Amino acid sequence: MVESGTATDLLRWIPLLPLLGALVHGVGLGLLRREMARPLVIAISCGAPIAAFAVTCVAFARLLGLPGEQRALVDSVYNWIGSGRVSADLAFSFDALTAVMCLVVTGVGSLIHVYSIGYMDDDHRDDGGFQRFFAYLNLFLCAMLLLVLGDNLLVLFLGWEGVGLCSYLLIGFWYGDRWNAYCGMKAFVVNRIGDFGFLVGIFLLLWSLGDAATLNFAELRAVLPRIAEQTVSVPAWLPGGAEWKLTTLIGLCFFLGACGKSAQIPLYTWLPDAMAGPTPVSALIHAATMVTAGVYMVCRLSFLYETAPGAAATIAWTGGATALFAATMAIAQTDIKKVLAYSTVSQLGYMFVAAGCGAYSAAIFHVGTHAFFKALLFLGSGAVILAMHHEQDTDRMGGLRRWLPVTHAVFLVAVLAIAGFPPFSGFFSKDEVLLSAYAAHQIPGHQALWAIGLVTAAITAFYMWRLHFRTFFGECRADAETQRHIHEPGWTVLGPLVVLAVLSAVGGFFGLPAIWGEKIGLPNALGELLHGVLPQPEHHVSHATEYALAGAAIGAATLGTLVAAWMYVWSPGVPAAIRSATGALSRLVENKYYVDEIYDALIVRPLVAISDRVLFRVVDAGVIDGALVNGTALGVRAFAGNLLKYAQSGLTQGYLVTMVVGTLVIVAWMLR
Amino acid sequence: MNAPQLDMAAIAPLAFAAFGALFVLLGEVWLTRRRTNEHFINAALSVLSISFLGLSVYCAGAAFSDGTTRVFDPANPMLSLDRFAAYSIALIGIASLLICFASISYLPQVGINHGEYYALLLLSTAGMFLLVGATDLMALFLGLELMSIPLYVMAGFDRRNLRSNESAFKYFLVGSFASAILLYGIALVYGVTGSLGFDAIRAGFPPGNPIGIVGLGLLVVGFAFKVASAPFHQWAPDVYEGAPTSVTAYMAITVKVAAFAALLRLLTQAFGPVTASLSDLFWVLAALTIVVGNVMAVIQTNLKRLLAYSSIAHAGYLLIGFATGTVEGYGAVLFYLLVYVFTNLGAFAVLMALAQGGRDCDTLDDLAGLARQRPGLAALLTLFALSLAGIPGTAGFVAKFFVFESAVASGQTVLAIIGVLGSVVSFYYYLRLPVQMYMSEAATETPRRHAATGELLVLAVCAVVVLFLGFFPSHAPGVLGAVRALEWARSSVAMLY
Repeated sequence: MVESGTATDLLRWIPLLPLLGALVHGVGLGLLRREMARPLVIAISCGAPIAAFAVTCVAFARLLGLPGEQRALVDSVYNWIGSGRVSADLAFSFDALTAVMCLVVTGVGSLIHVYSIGYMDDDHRDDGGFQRFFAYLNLFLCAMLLLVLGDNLLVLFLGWEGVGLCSYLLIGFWYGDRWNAYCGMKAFVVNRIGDFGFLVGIFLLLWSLGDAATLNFAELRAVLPRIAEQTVSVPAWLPGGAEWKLTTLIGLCFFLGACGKSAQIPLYTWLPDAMAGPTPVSALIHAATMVTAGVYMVCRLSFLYETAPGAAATIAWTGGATALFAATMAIAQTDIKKVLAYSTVSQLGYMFVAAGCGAYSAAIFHVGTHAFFKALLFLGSGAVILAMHHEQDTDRMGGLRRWLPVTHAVFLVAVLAIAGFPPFSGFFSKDEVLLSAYAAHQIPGHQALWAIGLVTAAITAFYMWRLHFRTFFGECRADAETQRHIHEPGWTVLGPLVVLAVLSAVGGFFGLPAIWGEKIGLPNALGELLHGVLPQPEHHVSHATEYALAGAAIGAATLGTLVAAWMYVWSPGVPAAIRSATGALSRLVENKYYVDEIYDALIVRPLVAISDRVLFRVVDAGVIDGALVNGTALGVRAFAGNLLKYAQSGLTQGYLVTMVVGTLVIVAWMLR
Repeated sequence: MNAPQLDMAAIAPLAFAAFGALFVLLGEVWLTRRRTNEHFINAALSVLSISFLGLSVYCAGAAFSDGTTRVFDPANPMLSLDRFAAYSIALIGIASLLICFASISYLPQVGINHGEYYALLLLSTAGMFLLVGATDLMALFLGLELMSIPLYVMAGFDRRNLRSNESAFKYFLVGSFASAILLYGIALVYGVTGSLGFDAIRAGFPPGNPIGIVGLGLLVVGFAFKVASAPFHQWAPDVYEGAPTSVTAYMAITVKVAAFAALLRLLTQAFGPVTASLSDLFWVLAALTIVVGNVMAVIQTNLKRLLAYSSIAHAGYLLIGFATGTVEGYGAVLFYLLVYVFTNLGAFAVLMALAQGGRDCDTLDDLAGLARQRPGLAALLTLFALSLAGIPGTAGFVAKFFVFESAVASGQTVLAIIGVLGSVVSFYYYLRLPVQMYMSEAATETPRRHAATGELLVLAVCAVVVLFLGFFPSHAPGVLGAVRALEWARSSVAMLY
């Protein structure tokens, strides 16, 4: 056994509290068959995450009180799966990485729960929609906390599947629209492709470790050097030759899982469609927490990726490609939530760039700041959507700052943060990411990766300002009736917005890079906290270069801002002119490069065709629905004859022939 | 000449089930003369069957905790009650017993409450008890036929229904064919070893003899038919679809347990030394069955057909355990069977509780809007669907994990990956159930009946077991600490060696 930390009974309460909330709601709905009183629902469902946040804070304080770099709290509830060779406890461990994730999940989660009170207030369906919504939300929080607290891969996987399931339930929450149910299904199925990678990764790890097989992170870290140098043969046409490092293969499997959950190429298509869910869900699940689970997993397995340079390079380049690709798709969207969805995909790409380049703490830093400003953006857009009576198309918005001054102000803070203007939080974290790419000599083409990141930063600034200008500036394009009813939402909606705005503004100071921190005497608190848990990259970059890189980032952000201002404020005719000048290209971008259509044509339709034409009609002819049932029309007398005729000359004979052939093949094969 | 020393305790479970069948038949005659209320007769016969099955399960449980091997006739060992048999008998007995509970209200709902249903069920169960305890090929064949023949009748039990009739006829035709293949296999093995007893075969089986190998192959094929492994699976969807739901549940659950258990005993006790050479065969059968079951299930719109393909897919996962050929692998198989029984029984019990007015609930559309009308049933069916799919936190995940892990441990990593791939695909079709229930509105607002007590009891038991095994598969804390499901499964297998 590897010594993994100080034992405590505290940690189990962090996921248990939201679970209890969900159970009370679920049982209440089931037994009472109608909604409980709303104040009670609100007290339970918002009390649970706030209490979990409080417990997290207590645990965090205990953690800081512990000496040493490998400090961690552990809470082993009981032995969950003890199958002899492999044993996994239902156990939680709380180290610096988990602490940061837990604080973000419970903190931002609590704010979003409070926000949801106001947002879901008008849901008066007779099936207890309001209470059901909060039950799902609490359940999600429980699963997410299991994911980040789990001290072994199986508990992580329990949470991993749990968040996927809740995400699916919440995307399809307004199922009156069949499209929403379809979107939920798509999210779940695409995620299963990722889960396949995850599970194969687990089994490959078990297989390669042999007698030392374990799933516990601390033990894995200790035994991994045994297989660090092993190789496996793979088909020669794969990049990197016919021999791969085993850890690279395992690392890639896990990364496939991360791609599904964190919406990276090629599995990103579900996230924009997931916007069909209520906006608080988009903020909580599809921006701040669940989608960062892939980044968290890569960081949690950093000891594996340290020995797998091929996998790390793949991660970095997949992240870079996704960041740029998704950013270009965000340019032409008019749906306010779709812009933010592609923006999320793009920002997640940044996180993977950092993780792939070995700058794991930079990745986590960006997870944190992104959680603040992207949750703020989503919740702000939710406030706009509420004010506009569930209108999401920016083509029918404009000039809203007149009616929504507070929403406008907090949205502005978030835009400044994501665009990367100092001293807002996004600037520092994005700067760290770009620096890590620039300095990562072990990644092939790392400077090109940095350039891609820089271009993406400019595009990010452009589309965010475009969104901002089209929503809050100019003339209002809504009809007069809607305009008369636009008003600021209530305090339960605005309160969380203001808190998140403050965090988005100053969040960067938690992890201030040394070049800035030295000037104002503020240490890099996050970096020091994560120092013992995550491997640190070896930078060999002078301070002058760092300043130059930061200057380039600010320049890119400014450029994007100016172009957006020119196109959407100063000369509003330009966008139409550009669109007509670049007809085919702009259509390509507007239609998101037709990726959904390509997937549909290449994968979905052939599959459907095979199952429908070949499997259903030929292999499984649905006999009982076919000839025999038609025969019933002829009456019972005809039936008897039909049955016998059918049974003896129809498919049953075919079954028997298959059996004989199968038997002969098996016997022949055994005699070989 | 001495009278044979017979150990009656060894056949106690079997005897209770068989006598139960006779009592049910007599009881029906007796009751119909005195009472006219069909529902009362049906309930009384069901309770009678449950009592006899309860006695069988009790005997099996006692034998299991006792742990000693009892042989019915030591001079001529054909039937024994050992730990392995006791485990299988208990599993089969509990499943049959719960099906009887659920049938109390199901049979009248679809209008087939005839007393011989329970007699046939008990006889078939007796056949299964014989099958899993058989240590001789003759007893094995006897058990197999005693299990199958009542099933042919039960499949056609809804005699006014064409589909039910066709189901029975088809099952009978294909089933007899498989029995013939199996019997031929028995004959060939007898030909090369000169004996039918497992121990004698083990001692006398010539490893390289082609006739013996053909005989072994035919035996495996016969069982592959019974468990609906590809390519001998085609009958299953047709038969499952046509039969009344309770019979489908009985066929899908207990037959699979009995056949897998008997095959396991046959392979370890009679053919132990040559079983390793079958590993490749089971590898191919498992992979093929997983692929066929999962891919075909995707396109189904009939619930029973969907569950039929799902049960084929599960047979594939179970065959992975046979491909490993290790104690861990077989232990995982027995544990998987335990989970399989309760998960499937739960799913089928929900369908039974939804049958009403002479109609089975058997298409996906029948589930539309269930979450609003019967939120409890919808939640339970979701739980069972998730367990069938293998979501962590349910028993289904743990069972799959053990099987795949045993495959990885014995070096069959590729097979484990195929299994994972199959279960990934399976999420798609299992998820269609909750989608229908939660995200579609019912086409007609026909009020649904309330589930009856018997059905609720079955559902509660299954739900508790599925969640319990999902979180405490190897041992439980507190007063339930005595429940060590995985250990029970492992020790049952270990005693066969």
